[in-house]
Amino acid sequence: MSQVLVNGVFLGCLFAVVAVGLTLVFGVMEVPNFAHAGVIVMAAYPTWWATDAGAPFALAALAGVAAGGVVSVITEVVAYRWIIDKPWAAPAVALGLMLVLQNTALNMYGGEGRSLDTPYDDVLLEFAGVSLSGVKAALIVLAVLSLIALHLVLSRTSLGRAMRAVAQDREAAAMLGIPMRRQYTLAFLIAGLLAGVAAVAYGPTYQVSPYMADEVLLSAFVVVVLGGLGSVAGAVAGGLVLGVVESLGAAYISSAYQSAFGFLLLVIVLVLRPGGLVGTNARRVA
Amino acid sequence: MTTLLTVEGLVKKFGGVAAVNGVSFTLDAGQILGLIGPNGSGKTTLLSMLAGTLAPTEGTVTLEGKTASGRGAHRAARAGIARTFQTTRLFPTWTLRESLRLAHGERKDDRPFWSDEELAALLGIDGMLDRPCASLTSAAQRLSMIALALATGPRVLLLDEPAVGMDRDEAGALAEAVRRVAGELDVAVIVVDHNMKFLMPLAQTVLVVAAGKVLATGTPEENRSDKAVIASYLGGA
Repeated sequence: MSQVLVNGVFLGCLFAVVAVGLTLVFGVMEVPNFAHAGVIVMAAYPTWWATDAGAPFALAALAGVAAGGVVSVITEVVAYRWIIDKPWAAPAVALGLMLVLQNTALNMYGGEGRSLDTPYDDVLLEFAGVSLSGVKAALIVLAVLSLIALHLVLSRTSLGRAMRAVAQDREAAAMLGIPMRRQYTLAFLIAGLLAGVAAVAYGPTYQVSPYMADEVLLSAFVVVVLGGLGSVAGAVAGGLVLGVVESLGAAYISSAYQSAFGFLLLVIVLVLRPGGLVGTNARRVA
Repeated sequence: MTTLLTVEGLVKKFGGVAAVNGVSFTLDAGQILGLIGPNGSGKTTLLSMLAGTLAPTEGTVTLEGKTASGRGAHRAARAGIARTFQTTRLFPTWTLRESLRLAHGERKDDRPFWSDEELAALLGIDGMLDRPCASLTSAAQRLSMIALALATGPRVLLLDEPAVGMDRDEAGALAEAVRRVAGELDVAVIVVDHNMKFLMPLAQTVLVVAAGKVLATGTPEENRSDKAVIASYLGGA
C-alpha cells in the first residue's frame, strides 16, 4: 500500500508540474495549450543529447529546463500573442503548434525512444519496506523545489503579483498600467521552464520520444479541470490526487485502466464540485 | 488654468457605422466634465478611446502635448489617463492595500505619487485598506476602484457611471470625493452618469453627446435650458 502511494506521489508531482504550466497559461491568456506536450519534447531532447555527449546530468537537466523556457516563449511570440482577440482560434492554433513541435523533433531525432541515463540510476532508497529509485526521489525533490520557487515568484515579486492580477481580471489589470504582453510572455516562460522540469523528470523514468508527453498532457488537462481552471494551488492538489488515484487503481483493480480512473475521478469531482477542487467562480492564480 | 487634455475630431467606426463621429473638446487640470447622452449615443465608445482600449478611426487625444490614443489600455494608464468601469472591477481576494501596491509598482517615476493613506482619506474609505475587497460594501468597492485608478498617478481620471446602484447619501459622498480628487490632486475628471441629480451639481462643464456627435457643451445650467438637449435627453428622462 505505501509503495503504491509513493509511486502515486511521484506520478502526482509529474502531473502537477505539467498542469501548473497549463493552468498558468490558461489563467492569464485563456488558451488550452496543447503545444505544452511539444514543449516537453523539445526540452527532453537537448537533455538526452547533452547526457549522450557526456555532459554531467545536472548540466544536461539545466539545458533541458532552459530549452523548455525558450521554446515555450517562442510559441507565445510567434503564435498565441496574435490570436489574443480571437479565442475561438486558440484550440486550433495550439493543436497546430503541438504537431509542428512534435514533427520537428521527429525530423531531427527520429521516432525511436531514447533512454535518458542519470547518475542516480543505480541508487535505491529503502525505508519502512518502501523502495524508491534514486531517480524518482531526485525528481520529486526537483518538482517540489520548482513549485516552491513558483509560489515565491507569484506571491513575493511584483511580476508575480501582476500575473495574479491579470488572471483575476485582465481589463482591471491593464487599467493599472500592467502591460499584458509582458505577462503573457512571463506566463509562457514559467510554463516552459516547468515543462523542462517535467521533461527531465519524465525522460529517465520512461523514454524520450516525440510522443512522450501525449498521455501526460491528457492527464494534466484532467488535473487542471480537477483543480479549477487557472488555479495553481488546485493544479498541485489535483496532480497529487490524480497520481495517487491512478496508482491505487492500477495496483488494486487493473493497470489496463490506469488513465480511466483519472477520468472517473474527474466525472465525480465535476458532479460534486463543478468549480474544481480549489476553484471558485472567480479564476485566480495563487 | 492650462489645457491638459485635447480631443480633436475623434471618430470611431464599427463596420460602416460611426459610433463616435467627430468629437472635439478640451479639458483643464482640476476640471470636472460631465459626459451625458442617451444610451447608444457613443459615450462608452468615446471613453474607451480616451482610455486606450479602442483605437480611434480618426482623430487624436493629446495629453500634456503628447499623443495618448490608440496604444492600448496599459499605455494610456502609464501616460496618465486612468479609468474605472461601469461594473466593479477589483481583485476580490486581495485587500485594497495589496491591490494599491500593485498599481504603485507599475507607476512610472514621473507620475505623481499619493500614498495609500492619502488616497483612502481623500475618498472617505479610511479603515478599509486592509480588508479583502470582496468584503466591502458595493459603494466602498466603487470608491476603492477610484483609489486604484488614482494609484497609477493620473492627470486625467475617467469615471464610467460611478454612482450606479448608490443611494442618495452614497452618491453624495462620492460627489464630495470626486470634488476633492479634482481640487486637491489637480486631476481632471470626466464623469459619465445617467443620474442627473448626482452629475449636474458635480460637473463644472457638461458635454452632451447624441448619435456620436457633440450636441451641446456648457455649464449644467446652460444645458438644462438648451432645447435640443431637452428634446434628445433630459426631456425623455
